[in-house]
Amino acid sequence: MEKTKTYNFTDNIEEIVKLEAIVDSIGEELGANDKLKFSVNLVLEELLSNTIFYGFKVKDVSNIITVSISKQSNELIIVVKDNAIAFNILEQEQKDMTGKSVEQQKVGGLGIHFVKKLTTFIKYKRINEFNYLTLSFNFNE
Amino acid sequence: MKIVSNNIPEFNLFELIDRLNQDDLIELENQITDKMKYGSKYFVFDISKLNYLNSSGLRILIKTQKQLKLFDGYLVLVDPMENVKSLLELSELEEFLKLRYGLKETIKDFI
Repeated sequence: MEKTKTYNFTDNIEEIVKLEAIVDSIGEELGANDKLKFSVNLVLEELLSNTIFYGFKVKDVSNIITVSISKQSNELIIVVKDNAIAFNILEQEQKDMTGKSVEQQKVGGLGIHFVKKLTTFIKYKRINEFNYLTLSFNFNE
Repeated sequence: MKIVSNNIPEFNLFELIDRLNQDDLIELENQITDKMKYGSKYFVFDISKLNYLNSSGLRILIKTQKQLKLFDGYLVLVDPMENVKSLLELSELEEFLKLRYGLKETIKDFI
């Protein structure tokens, strides 16, 4: 991929259906395998649905989530930018993997668990009321 | 997405096809709830044609399994595609959600 591709999503959960076509299209262009496309689709869906459901205080036309995708060497780099409330995924509790039975665990946190497990690198920044989440996926895995 | 539900007396067979979006998940949860209301406690999910599942879908399956256990019932997932299988492994839910292989053999256990 020569340049970064950017996609905008509003705060409507129906927007999520666009992800499959976007990931398929970019995946085809880059020659990504099905596993990588599945991982990227899942991670973006978990992040975007979380922001749409819980991140915006009120529905507003100014609520925009921007997803930028580029390939750098063997990494697929994705930056998710939004003007939702501050949310640092790195500080969030993920699924309890300490050997507790599922009955004892909180069901929440699965999405965060998937995001952390399926990416090779995560960086979070809050700048001027915007969340910037940078994610990396290993292209050859 | 397509949810195919078959009313076999001994158990409920659901065939989940393609992928489950938000509306599909609501529909699936409603169908499960309806059947449980009428005393159903065994559910077989044929997921051999389900190529995508997210945490919302898993949450419904986990919730259903927990509810069924209260009535000595359970659900099983049969023949996952590779990506869905990887997701179940990643979430360490294969055992809890009773992952099985071979629909015919699984169904025999209920009859």
